[in-house]
Amino acid sequence: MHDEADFTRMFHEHYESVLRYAWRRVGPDDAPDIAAETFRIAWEKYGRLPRDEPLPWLYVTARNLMSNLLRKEERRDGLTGLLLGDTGPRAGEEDHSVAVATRHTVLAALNRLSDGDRELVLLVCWEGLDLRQAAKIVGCSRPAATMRLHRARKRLQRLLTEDSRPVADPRPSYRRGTA
Amino acid sequence: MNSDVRQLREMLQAHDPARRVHPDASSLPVIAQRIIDETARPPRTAVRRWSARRWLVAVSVTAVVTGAALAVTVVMPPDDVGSMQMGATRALAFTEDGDYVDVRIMDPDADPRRYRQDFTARGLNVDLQMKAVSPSLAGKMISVSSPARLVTYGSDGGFEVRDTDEKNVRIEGIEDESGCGDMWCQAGVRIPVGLRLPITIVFGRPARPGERYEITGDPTARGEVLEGLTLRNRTVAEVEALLRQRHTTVETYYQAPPPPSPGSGGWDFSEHVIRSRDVPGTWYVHEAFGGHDRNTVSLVVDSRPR
Repeated sequence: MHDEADFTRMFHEHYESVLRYAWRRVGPDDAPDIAAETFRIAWEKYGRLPRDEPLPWLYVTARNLMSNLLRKEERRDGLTGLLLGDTGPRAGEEDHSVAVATRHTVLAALNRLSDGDRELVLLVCWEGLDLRQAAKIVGCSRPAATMRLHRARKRLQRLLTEDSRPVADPRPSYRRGTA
Repeated sequence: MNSDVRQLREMLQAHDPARRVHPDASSLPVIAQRIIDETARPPRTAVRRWSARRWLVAVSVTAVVTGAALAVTVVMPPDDVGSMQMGATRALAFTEDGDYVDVRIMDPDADPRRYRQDFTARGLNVDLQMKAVSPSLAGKMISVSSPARLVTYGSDGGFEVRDTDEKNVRIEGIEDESGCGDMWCQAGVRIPVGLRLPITIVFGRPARPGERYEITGDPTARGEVLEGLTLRNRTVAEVEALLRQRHTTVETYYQAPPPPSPGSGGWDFSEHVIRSRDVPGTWYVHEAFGGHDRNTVSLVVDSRPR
């Protein structure tokens, strides 16, 4: 019974983080299933879960589930596929089409990073993890993570400044504004 | 904060596709409870849903297993196939189907004497052994043999046992739909009614706390420590990083068989152990075996991908 209460507490504490983690990588259609399956495995293996800091374990499990899903469905659109779920303007956006185009450029640039570098960048920027936690999830040392983030930051800046058009996007569907 | 981190966050935070995502708080207790109710944890791996493959009508009922007091979902066969009967000790369930009787394990933790009583009561000379196994093999049939007789495994999951009068007796496996990764397993066995040959069947049971696995499953199969991972042709360094994330260590490294010999047939891995310090991180993993201790694996590696 203690386990059930502890697990329920952990679920409430971390479900949103895991849902968002999945949402950022596979989009809104699959994210709830990935999150639920992650916690199902967590409950199945609760005896082995690092209870003092379960989030990295949950992220790794979710990432493996997503890798399987993407491989199974042969999805190659990467992060840019997330724009398909972008249905409307966000608060504060003056021109939604410009915002979408910019977002697409950013996501496409992220797609051009190696898988490991991109994951590290997203964990730090979107999941808000510190370097130690992110390095642990990616499976590298903290100095290596620092070096990889430096390299990724320079590459992203170059990609975003040298090419104003959406990067690696064959579709002309996102018209950039004049701003 | 590191300036790279700060700059990256400034660059990317506004583009987070999930920054406005919040789960419906009212649904969280329901989801959590459903996960708890519907997920079998290791002590309860004996709880399994039975295959309905061979039965046209499936009606879920709940049976209480003696001793273990577990609720088990059982798929009842329709009348024209035959009725399911629990063994006298309720360790086994028998379903008569024409000339065959299907045998499935109801309680993997039962005392082996109870299985023998159930088989003897049906006139069958079956020695059922339960071995401590890693999670993916728990509750599954992993071997069939007959003392001093030749058993031929067929590709369809069946077996032929050569009788003393040179007649072949066919025993069939009952397919396990959930599978065991790369390992062979079946959900149960179909034995001809009136079989008098001695048969030895080995089923897997969950290892008890602190107990080593006698038989290990595919470490990437469901329920295992590397569940869901694909290791083949990843570099040793990549796999070791994945193992660290799963708190898993390498028990032994083995040299992969040389090409072009397919698979590992005829290759005695125990004669090709490599010391870990002699395995470069740039080598490739061909295969992984489960270790006999929890959270351990053995890796088959080579300088070239498979």
